[in-house]
Amino acid sequence: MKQIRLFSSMAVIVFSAAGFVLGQGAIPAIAQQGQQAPPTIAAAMDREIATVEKEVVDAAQAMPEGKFNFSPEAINLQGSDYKGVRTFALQVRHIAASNYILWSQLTGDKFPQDYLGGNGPENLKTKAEIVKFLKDSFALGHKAAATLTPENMLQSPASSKSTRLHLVTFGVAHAFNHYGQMVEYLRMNGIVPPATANRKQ
Amino acid sequence: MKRFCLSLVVVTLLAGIGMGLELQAQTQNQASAPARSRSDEMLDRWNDIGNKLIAMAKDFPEDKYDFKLQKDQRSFAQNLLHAAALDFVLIRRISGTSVGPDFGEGDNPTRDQFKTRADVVKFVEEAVADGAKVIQQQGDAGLDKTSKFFGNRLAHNSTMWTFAIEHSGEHYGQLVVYYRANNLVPPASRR
Repeated sequence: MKQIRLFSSMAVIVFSAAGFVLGQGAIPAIAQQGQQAPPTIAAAMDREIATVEKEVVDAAQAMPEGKFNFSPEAINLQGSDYKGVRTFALQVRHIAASNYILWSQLTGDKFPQDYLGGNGPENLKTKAEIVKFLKDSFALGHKAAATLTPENMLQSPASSKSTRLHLVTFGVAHAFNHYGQMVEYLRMNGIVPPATANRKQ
Repeated sequence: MKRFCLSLVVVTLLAGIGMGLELQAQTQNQASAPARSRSDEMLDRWNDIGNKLIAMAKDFPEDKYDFKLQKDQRSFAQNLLHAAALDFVLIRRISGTSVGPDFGEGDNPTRDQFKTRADVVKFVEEAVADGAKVIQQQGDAGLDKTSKFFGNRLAHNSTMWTFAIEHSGEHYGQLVVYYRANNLVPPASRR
């Protein structure tokens, strides 16, 4: 009888534990905590891309056409060495070309070789052409984000050793890095970056 | 006999539950076949930009720490302090703790609080290390929880980590230009 009681007690404990474990799996922990459901990974990445897209495109639009090829080298700042750094236009083209090489690996789209990495096609000269190249690269980013699922995000596409998630997030981080440089180029020309100007209004 | 039968029933039930749990675990393992996790990826991103800022903080000459290109912007040191302070603000909200030193309200500590290069380096290092610790401790489940973001609106922790990483990236880009303005090459570009 004592043994039965012991087994019964164990069974109750294991049933309770099993119910707890299974319950956690069946009912999302977030719901138990009264928190909102997380966005899908595709939606979350799409939002990241949209955020940096707005910052970069607005900054590109803010630079007047006549100063689009500005390089800090031109202002001969005492004690500086900006020799060979990217011009404002090349910063924008570089962001776009990097977007293409990173995000096309998720979508499988084929692009001309000069779209990928580096500074993009040499024939892009005007502000309008370069901004269009930039916007089109972000459109590709939104398409790439839409392909992400919980199942594939930590897998690598055939063309890369990086995970799909990394390819998307690296593109965003890379764009922010160059956006920071664009901000400085704008300020060197007396232009307050739109993100800052809008915040002050 | 009665005792034996009851024991048999209980043992069978226990075995069944055990198998069920094991199967569930196996299924979960199969479904999550990738070796890396979302929090691993987030940690990599966090450390990548964090270590870049630390490298700059250690490398930039101390006598140029108050350099800025334009009068209406942050100095080199203020950029670093601002990036790390924002990290701390978000880490505190996500972790529900008060990690890090007291730097007052907001996310723009003054140089009075962090006078030397060593002070600034320590502050940035602590922010990066503390954030990394929380990302690791909370794992994937933590990314899907919500915390108070700006304006006290709730946001998923994944969004908040991402914001901090991207914010650091933007200031890193600004500091790259500060470097070259001083005839210096950023550490990450010395290859």
